[in-house]
Amino acid sequence: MSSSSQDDLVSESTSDVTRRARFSIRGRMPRRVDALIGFVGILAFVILWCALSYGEVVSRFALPTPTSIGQTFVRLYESGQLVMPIARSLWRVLRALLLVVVIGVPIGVLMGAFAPVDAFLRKLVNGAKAVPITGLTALVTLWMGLEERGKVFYIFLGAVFYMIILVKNAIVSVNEEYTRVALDLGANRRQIVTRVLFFGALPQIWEAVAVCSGIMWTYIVLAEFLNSSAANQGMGGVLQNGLRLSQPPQVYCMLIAIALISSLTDFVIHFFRKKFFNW
Amino acid sequence: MSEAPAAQSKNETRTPEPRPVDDRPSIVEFINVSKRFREKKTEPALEVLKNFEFKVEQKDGGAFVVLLGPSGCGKSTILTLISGLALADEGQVLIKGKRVTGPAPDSATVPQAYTCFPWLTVLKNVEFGLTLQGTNRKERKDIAMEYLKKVGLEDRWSAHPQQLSGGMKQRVAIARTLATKPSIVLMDEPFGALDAQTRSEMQQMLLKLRDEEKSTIIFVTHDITESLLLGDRVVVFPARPITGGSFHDETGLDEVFGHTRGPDLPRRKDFADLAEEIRQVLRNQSLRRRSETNK
Repeated sequence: MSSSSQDDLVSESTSDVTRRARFSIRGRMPRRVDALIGFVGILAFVILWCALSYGEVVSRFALPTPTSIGQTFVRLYESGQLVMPIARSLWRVLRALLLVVVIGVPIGVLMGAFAPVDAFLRKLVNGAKAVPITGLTALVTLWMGLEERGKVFYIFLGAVFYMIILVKNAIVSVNEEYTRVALDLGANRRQIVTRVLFFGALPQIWEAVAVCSGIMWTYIVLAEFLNSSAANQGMGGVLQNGLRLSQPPQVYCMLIAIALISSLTDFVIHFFRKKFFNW
Repeated sequence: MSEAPAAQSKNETRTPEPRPVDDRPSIVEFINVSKRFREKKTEPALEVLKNFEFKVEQKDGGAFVVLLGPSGCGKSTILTLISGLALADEGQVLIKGKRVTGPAPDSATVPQAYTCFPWLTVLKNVEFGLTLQGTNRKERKDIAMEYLKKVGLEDRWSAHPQQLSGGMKQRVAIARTLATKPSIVLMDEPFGALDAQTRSEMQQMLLKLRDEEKSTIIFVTHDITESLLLGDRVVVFPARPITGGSFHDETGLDEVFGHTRGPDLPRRKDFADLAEEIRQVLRNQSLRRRSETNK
């Protein structure tokens, strides 16, 4: 058998393995195929949407057509109800996310590293996480008012307890051998926490930031329902206007925009994870 | 040529003589040490060491002691007690005459698992212990590069551990340990996960480092060939619990095989004979222990 035909055999068997791997348990796929399948999924969704709305299978009031959504996007952009509300919402989420990281990460690290801290806080954090955030609306309004502070605090509350738990779990899951090696090389407790546990958990902590960012985008609408004046209107305010004025396309526009921004944020966070925290 | 010393060592393993009173200063000493492990309070404790006595003498140029025994017999526990990462339930563990009460700079361990910190480059991994010791940046880098050169990884200093093979990762771990210049280097089956070829290369590298560093090396393995190839003293342990009287099977290997040992040494007849002798000792001890347990 010539070497070239041997090569052909090898490449055939390799592609065979790849093909099978697509449906094998925990199988991997080439990135392009993954992107293509993802695109096909979106395309299928759009086709279904077109069929239901243009075919008037569902009333156009309940499910507007893609054309009317597109037109509404243009209208919102031209009337200044698209860019600024998106910027305001984004700014609120970013500030709340910063707070969540600054407060949630150290608490999670301490809970993961020291059993007494965990014992002291675990039940409180788990209990607080279970409280529905919608039930806290009145309390947040009482504590922080209806203005900017209240909105940021509201979405902060929605994510901070998740952050604490995710960070704690990340710290707990750091390979015990790293701690042993560091101790053996002379690290003290502070150095174990700051130089080993924190860095060992960093990829998962970064993932936790992505999760919390996603949670916040689900709460931003609720937060911006509070006192949504034109001057400080975010995406939630525009959405609420759409509901109040019976303009479903406007509601859909905001939901699509939130989904796109949230996905984009997720993409950026994962890009940095792969680039800088790949262990 | 080498039959005579091999035969002599056989006699030592067959009929253990009581050791003469030894007043040489010891670098490591276990005095009547017991160590038990218990998963749950309700479960009976697993006795790993029982009234265990053991001594590694100070030696110019450093000693190379190999602890040989079946998997799970408690060899690694001995290293953990020396490192101070665990403490004896009873008895005393002494390093240079001082009782071990926790991790101390006298010893450092190269574990079996790959433990290079994946978030640090190879250079930063080797610098890690030096950073903890407060060594200044320039000196730290110089020492780390020196040790990377010794383990043949000076051109991979900027790589991350994920970009290295298993053998390379263990080289980094060895460089990281040696860079802190501990007087005792503890090695817990460091080549256990490597393929035969890489393992042989690592063994030769370690023999070279032994002569350069002059630290005392205590090396744990369950591989008889590895133990005879590396150690100048091999201590054979039976199944647990390791007790005070059971580590008499010592072999002064520098006298038998010489100090410089190449990868071809295992092909020598006296080497094979001695390996078989130790295999028999381990088998007999295991059978004896099993029959005692059945009684």
